[in-house]
Amino acid sequence: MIRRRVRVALGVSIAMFGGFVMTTVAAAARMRADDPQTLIERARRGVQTQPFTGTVEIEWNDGATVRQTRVAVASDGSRVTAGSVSGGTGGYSNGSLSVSVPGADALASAMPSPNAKYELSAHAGPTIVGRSTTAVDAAYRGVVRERWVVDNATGALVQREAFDSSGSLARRVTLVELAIGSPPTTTTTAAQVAMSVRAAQVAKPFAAPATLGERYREVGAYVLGDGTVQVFYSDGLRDLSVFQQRGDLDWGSLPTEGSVISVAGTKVHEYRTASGSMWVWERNGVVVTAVSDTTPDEMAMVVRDLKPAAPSSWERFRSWVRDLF
Amino acid sequence: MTELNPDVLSAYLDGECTPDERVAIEARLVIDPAWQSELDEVRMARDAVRGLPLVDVPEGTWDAVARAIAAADASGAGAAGGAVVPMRSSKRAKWLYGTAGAAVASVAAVVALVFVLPAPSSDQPVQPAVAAFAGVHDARAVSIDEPLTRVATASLTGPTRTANGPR
Repeated sequence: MIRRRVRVALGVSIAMFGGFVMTTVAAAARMRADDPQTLIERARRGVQTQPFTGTVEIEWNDGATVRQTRVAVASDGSRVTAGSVSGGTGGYSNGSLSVSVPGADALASAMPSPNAKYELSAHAGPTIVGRSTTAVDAAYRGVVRERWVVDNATGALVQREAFDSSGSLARRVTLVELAIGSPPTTTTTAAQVAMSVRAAQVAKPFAAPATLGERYREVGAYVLGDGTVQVFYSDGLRDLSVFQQRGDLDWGSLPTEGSVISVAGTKVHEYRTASGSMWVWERNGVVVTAVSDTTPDEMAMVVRDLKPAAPSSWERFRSWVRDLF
Repeated sequence: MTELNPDVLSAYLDGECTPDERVAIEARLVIDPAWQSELDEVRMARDAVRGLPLVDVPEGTWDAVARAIAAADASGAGAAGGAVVPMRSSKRAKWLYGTAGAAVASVAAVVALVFVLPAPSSDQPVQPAVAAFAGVHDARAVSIDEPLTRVATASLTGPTRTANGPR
């Protein structure tokens, strides 16, 4: 009798413990699936899960007007291809680009976590191409700067929006057509030749500060084939390249699009394109070209950090003597 | 390539290096201030020599020099046989000459430094390939960011219209 009661009590205890464990694991899994950081990581790898073809609509503000264009995209599970859909008000020609989706590499492992700068939160997103989504907001100083909308079923990113420090939309990229299971056919590959160097080795007159602008951290430095120095930065969500070349900027050689602005007294030629901003200026005998998917207000802080130094007394004297003669 | 060799830098400036040597030299120039200084010196010496004017001496100069040497040899006059005339001088004159000489030398040195030392910014005009840089950046960014929207936006070429038309 006593033995039977012990068996029953033991069975009930095991059942209760098992139920508790299962409930806890399920809750943890649900929490992890909704965790904004996890959603971002899944979105970065989401296109690897299955082949698809589709169309992406890109809207961006070029400073004067909102432009819009469409691009065909496709993935075979390991390679993403994009290019050539007519229409839109982009004003820029469509090329074709195909890039392998890599696993974790040295550059990715050096990237800062989005949590280091942004406050992340997740909420139910809109229905996009018939799919239910979750939206991840990344706020900095109380203003949402990035919104990533991910497909609940596949984890793939279906919309990405970039906002400036006032909350105004700078760029929106949305998947507007999607057919799962159709592999791409284009095989063009972007190629580049560069020698990796440590940022600490980058000597004057070039600059490679460890941090730049609004909490962008240096994650890699390279010397391109023509001697141009590229320093690559990331804030966890957005990235920035600073290209530097010795010499004096030939302003007349620059593409005529964009506009010339002044940032903290520095003359800058600014371009706003579908992929972000490109800014060109001079800094003490070095021509600087900054390329980023960030917003113009954050680019302005980069210019402030890399503005020309005031001439030394010797340089002022030299100018005076040269003018004299 | 670890040896700092002026001949290599001279060949680099003259465009006589192979593409591989050029990349290696430019990479070294980026990270090594000693190489940059050497390059500046080689460039300065090269520019100074090339900047010297070519002047033709007046016709008959060399013949006149040859005749003068022959005449001196014939008369036995020369450094050894020539008469030496002592200069009249005083301490005050020496001081004045010395001070004036030093002042002229100082001014000449400063002016030479102003004009001879390389300017902090080279005179080399740079035409940044803005659209190409955007491509290099996007290709690197795609490798770490979410590829879907990055590849889509990167496939759109950047600004390319120049004052002389598209390039």
